[in-house]
Amino acid sequence: MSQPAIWDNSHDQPGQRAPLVLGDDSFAAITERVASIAERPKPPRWWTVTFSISLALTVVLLAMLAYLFTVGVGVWGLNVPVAWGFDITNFVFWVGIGHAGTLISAILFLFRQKWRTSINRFAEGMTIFAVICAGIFPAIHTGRPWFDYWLFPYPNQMQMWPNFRSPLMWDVFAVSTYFTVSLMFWYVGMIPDLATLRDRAKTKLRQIVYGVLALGWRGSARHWHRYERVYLLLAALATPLVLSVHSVVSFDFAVSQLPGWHATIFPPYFVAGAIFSGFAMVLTLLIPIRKAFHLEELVTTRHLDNMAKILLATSLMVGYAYGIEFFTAWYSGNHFEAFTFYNRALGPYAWAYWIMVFCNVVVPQIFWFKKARTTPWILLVGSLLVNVGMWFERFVIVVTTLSRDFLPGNWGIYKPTWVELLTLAGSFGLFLTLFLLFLRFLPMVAMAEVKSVVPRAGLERGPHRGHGQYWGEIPHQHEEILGGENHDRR
Amino acid sequence: MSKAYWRSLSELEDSPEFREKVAQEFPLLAEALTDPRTRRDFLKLAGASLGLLGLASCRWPKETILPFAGQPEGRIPGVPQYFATAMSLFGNALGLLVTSYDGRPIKVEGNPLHPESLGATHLWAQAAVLELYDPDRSRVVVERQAGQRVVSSWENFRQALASSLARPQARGGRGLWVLADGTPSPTRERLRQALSQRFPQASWVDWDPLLNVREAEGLALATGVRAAGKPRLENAGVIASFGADILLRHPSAVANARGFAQRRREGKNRLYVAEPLPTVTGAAADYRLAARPERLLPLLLALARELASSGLALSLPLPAAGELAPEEREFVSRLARDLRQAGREALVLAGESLPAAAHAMVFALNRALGAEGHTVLYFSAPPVQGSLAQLQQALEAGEVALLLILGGNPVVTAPHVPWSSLFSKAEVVRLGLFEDETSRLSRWHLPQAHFLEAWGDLQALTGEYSVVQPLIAPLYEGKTAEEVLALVLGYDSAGYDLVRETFAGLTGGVFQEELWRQTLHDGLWKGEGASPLTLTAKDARWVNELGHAPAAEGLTACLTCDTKVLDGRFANNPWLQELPEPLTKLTWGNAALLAPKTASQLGVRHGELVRVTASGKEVLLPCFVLPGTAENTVGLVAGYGRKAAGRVADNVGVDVLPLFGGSWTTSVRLEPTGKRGDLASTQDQQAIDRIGLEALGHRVGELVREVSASSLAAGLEPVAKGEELRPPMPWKERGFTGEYQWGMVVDLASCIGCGACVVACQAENNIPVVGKKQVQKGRQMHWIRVDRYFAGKPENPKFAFQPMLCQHCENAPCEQVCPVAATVHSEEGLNEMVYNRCVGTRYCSNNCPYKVRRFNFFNYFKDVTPTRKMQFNPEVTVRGRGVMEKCTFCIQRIEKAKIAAHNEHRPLKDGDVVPACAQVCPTQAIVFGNLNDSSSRVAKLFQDPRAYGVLTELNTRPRVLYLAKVTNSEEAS
Amino acid sequence: MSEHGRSRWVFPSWTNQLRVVVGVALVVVPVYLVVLVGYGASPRTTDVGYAPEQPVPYSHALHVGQLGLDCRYCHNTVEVAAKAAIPPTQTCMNCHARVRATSPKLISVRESYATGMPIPWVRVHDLPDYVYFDHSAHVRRGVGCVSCHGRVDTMEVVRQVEPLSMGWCLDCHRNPEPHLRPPELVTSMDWVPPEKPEVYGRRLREQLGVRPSTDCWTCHR
Repeated sequence: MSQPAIWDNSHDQPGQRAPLVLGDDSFAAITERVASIAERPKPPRWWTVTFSISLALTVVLLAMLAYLFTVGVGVWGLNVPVAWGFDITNFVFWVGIGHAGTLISAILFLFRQKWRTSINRFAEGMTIFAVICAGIFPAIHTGRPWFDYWLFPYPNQMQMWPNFRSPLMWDVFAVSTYFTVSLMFWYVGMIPDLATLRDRAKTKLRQIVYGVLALGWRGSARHWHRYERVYLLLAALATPLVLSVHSVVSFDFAVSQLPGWHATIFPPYFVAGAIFSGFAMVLTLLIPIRKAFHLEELVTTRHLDNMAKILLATSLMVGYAYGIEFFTAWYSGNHFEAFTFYNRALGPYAWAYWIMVFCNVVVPQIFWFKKARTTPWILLVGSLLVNVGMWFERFVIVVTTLSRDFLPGNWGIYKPTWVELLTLAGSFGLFLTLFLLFLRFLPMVAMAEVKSVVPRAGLERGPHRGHGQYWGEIPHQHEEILGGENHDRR
Repeated sequence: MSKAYWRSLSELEDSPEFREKVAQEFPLLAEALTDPRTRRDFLKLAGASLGLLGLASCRWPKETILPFAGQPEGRIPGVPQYFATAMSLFGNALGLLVTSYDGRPIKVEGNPLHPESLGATHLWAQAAVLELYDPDRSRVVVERQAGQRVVSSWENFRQALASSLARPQARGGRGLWVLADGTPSPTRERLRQALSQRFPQASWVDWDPLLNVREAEGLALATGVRAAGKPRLENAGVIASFGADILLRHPSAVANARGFAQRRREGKNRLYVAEPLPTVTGAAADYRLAARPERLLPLLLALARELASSGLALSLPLPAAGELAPEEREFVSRLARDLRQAGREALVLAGESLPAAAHAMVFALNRALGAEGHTVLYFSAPPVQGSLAQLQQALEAGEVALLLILGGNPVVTAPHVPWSSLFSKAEVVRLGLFEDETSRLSRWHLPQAHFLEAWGDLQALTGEYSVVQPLIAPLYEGKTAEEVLALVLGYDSAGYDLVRETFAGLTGGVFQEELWRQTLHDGLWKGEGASPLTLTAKDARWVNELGHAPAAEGLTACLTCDTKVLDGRFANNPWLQELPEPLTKLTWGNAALLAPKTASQLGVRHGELVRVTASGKEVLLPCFVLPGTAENTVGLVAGYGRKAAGRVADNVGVDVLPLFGGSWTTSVRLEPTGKRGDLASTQDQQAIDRIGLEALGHRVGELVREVSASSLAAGLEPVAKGEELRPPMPWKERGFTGEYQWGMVVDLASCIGCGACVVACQAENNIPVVGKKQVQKGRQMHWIRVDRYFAGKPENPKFAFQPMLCQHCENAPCEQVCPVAATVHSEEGLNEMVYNRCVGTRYCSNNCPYKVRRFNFFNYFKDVTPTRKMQFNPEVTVRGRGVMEKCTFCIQRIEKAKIAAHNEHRPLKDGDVVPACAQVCPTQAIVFGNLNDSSSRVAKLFQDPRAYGVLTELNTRPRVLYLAKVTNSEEAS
Repeated sequence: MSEHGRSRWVFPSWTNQLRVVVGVALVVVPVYLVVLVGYGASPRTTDVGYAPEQPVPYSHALHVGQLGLDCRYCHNTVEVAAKAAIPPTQTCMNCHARVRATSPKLISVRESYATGMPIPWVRVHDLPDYVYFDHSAHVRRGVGCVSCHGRVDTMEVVRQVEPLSMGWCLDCHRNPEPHLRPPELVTSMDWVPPEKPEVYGRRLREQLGVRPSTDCWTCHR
């Protein structure tokens, strides 16, 4: 899709800041643009269609799990030596996706990246749902989830504690913490907008539901003050988690001693990969939705441009990791290590390896070109491929390593079964179902935050605007905005 | 607890019925419920509400204990008893000690006193206990009239027998034929003689495909006496085998393996093997020649000529051996030289597939070399009467009125005889464990009693008399062959009396109760024993039969009986079906074995389905490219493709016997079909690609280390055990405070890869069988697997076996990663796996560098039959679905020995604890014991210069060490 | 729209009372649940006191308490085997062939003796099947019957008095001294150590070489 030049705000001219919001940037207009989506009585046809499809897939997921729980892990293609396959691959994949949200909302927030405001809500939502999908797999991969509670330390008549040396143990804490904080972050950030929806609500039901969710937000100075504080604190809290979660996930492999897993580069490598895949997923979802809901003025070409740049950067990091793995394998002089990577590139799973390299390293190179960064459909295709590539990265790491380790006597091959394929598809179904519900009923763009970065938000007040610096009178400004706008409505 | 008596908590909070129940279940709670006032009582009540929920749902069902009304003498509930018995295979007896738990035989061990066992057993003895409980065993007498299967009874049969005996009886027994399976049972022999007195005209045929009849015939040719050789490998310095699998498929295989390993460990023997298909014997050879089957005879002849020309007093008119290929020439000349040097320590052996004359030649050679009496003794061969051919003629001529088939399964094992048409010409009575192919063609089928549930007796080749005593009353209404013979003879006496009668006969007429009890206890009675025969050579006319070897063009199919199910008699035994074949590692079926070169010439891929045709008949089966197979030779394995063996064996593999028409070889055509065959192998299930093979090549030398006999003699530098590689740890390393520190040593010089340990472990530890599909997925459950590696040139490779089991690493990678601490280390240095704590993350298996952990992907015991359950070892948990398991060093045996010793307030002695694998091992390759006791065998072996650990560079510090393989070829030194 | 109306959208005033309720619930409910589960689900609640009705109204109080039968007269394998055998009917009849030979209470015993069919005793002390407990190992080391089975000599109907939970086992395996006594006195029901159990126990422990293991495989295989 092509747009008039005026829509392209992705230029960088010294002295002149490119606007982050285009078109009519009046607060009321922004509110209208966003809130109206969550308020329309009937969803658009495409929403109904995609929703019913993903709901169907979710049902498939549940069916697959029921089958797994009743019959056993044998319904998957696993064996000895390859005792992990799709289960852990999907887990790492989804956790990775779940990184963009918190990164955008927390780290970019602390770095004062104002452009984040139009996409953070959306990305956080995605994060929550991705982590939910991720959480499923460790829980079910034993085939006997009713024993999962044994992984939690609780006093019991056996006088047994779980094994705190086990990375799986650490996962339990890392992922659950990450999920809690992300959820808090998402929800707290949403409160003012929920209040707006409440105030605009036409029906009793919506009033009450949004009313309860808004926790009685009235937009008073005190409210804003505390809100800003909490938001800042949560951001500070979430930032280390962004790094910690995937580092811990990578420990599952790095702490073991298999060639191909036992590598010190894993934590940074995994975090980079996670951001990479996370941003890819944001783009994959954002581009069509931005079009479908006509949000080009809020989610502008500049936003896409920036995200493409991040994609490119992280792609280079991941590519570097791929390379350095081979170097260390060769440099270590350990023939087991060397063979593992030799085997990845040329062995029975070489096809997966090369898909990974192509999607994650080759494809993103097109983002060196501005044209590619600012043309939505190219971005969409690129980001989709990156998603595929990142899934295969995890598959390669998990499966090729296991299928051929130390003793040739126990080498084996792993072939996924239809159950595993459907489970994977089902997890996407669940993800989309939740996500579509979010689009339908919640403000998908952080209105209040966007308002703070539109030119109109106190042009006369010097260069520093936007989130994080409303001391003094700005809250009144907001109070007014909300109030006024509410009066406009009536 | 019954859920029925109340519906919901709220409903019965106060009902009297409820109070009364509570009073029963919880007297303490009763009063708490009646006046819940104090806080403590409130808590009690709160607790009770849950507790009662527990009663209704959680509390496992009410268990009853059923003691005897009158306790049998000396029986202590839950304390196993051991009984001596014996098993017959290959026409020889193997002494056994069977463990009986509360009256159920659950495990078979070897009888240390028995010369053929020496405390070990072959894998078939291990599997026999499962055969006893096979749910497919026939349970009733069956009569077939006009194809109608009618369940009958012994009584009916007795009457029918009387009438059908009438005619033969009138004619002095003419028309009465007995087809027996050559079991060396004195009682049976006694009854046979009784029969021939009673019915002088009656005919008796012994036939069993596993009997080495040709050797007996050969010795008859050479000496006039039907004799059988008993190798004494413990005395043999140079052994030459021409197609004889002396270490596995041989009447004295167990004893042979023991003798061979004894000398092999010290590098004091050299083994030459010329064979068409790789066998465990060939794999153990120092010089192995992959020779086409028809080349064996010329080779033997060439050897004789070589020896003669080197001045060996072999006064025989030797015919020309014909042209030899270079490698054949080298093999023969080197062998001849070594044999001459070895002198009386030399030993020449020939396989059952070679003609009688060849065996005569072997006898001549051994005698000339002075080996006779030293490395080989001759005893009178187990009595084998008549031949199938005679029976066939008689049947065709309609001279057979009543044919009595005692055991065996001729319809399957001798398909060249048109049984279905012949059986219609006579009244056929068949006694068998299973209502199998033969029974289905017979008029009468009689259920046979298994040797573990009936009285009988056996005589070893070397003369020792063993009583086969039952461990359990017959599960079904089975009878033994002897009992049926007694029926025919008209005196309906039980097996017990028959055997005692025989015993009385053997011990000079009068029955000696004391001696009898002693025999039962020891498992054998030496008696005067059969002393070795002193044979005298007759004229050498037989030599001429050696001359003309058939010229070899095209493909020769070479028949061999399977190393697991043998001729198919064990086909319905799941343990044996799932046991990996030593060389191919195939389970659940057979394949056409081809040399790599031949396969590529024929354009056949490994695993491809091929069509093999010979004399009009054809079979379709998958091809297996096996290095070490002779070129232009197709190895075809008998024992599979059963049609009426039972639910396990039916249609597993392909029946290749019809191609051969009773001979051992036949020339065949083989073409690829392009379709994929259905092979299930536990190693290299997917053919390994080039880079895989390269890596394998690099690693084998490191994993399976070798030392040459010469360097062993010269005195070795200790091989690196890995300690020197151990990095210094920044933290204090764990020490082990246990009184005993368990360790194991596996001697790769002794291990012949037979797989007896795998079956023994399976029997001892309730290890499930998973079936073909699961094996193809790589989910076999064996706790100990025997890794097989090839090294060197594919046309003439070196073979290496490495039993791989849990190494009980002191620094175990599996332990760090288990999130629920289901696998931890014991103070005695054992890597403990706790099934009831395992949640099944499988992380431990991933992190195990040896991949010796096994996971229950399904509940493999879901539909286990009641009879099958009887075999379970009560001392070992039967694992459920989703649980990881692995070798425990037979912890149940360790704990038992410890408790026993401590109850007597004494420390454990070396040898008090023997794991199942170590106990069964014919070569004593596995030694287990306490490392803290410096005098224990294992502690000494840990210091052996040959000892090394696998993958010690990972700092796993395994408690299992391997002793380097010993090779004795000149190249090796 | 009036301020009042507007504020109702925020939160109706009646919801203010809820705050107290919610606050209290947030504190109390978790505590209650923890206590309930912790207490109710523990073997002390679910198993202790289990005293099923037996097919024969056999009174340990009478036989052991009053008549002073030694445990080992009936449970004769306790010192040599893992299982402390439930006596065969024969054992009962040794006496009851004469004593109370016609008592209606003993009908099922006489029946069993006549028919050879066993008496279906109900198991009271039932360990999970994955626990391999060995009586001989404990009795030979001077762990008294009382330690696990309580004062059987006072029980009309045998009752489980100890939780028999893993933690309970470990307590003794970690610190056996208080539970040790001279092996010849294991069956004595009212034995009291001549001096402080810890001290006395420690001496016995050295004498008997009691080294209770806490390794998993001691009990689980």
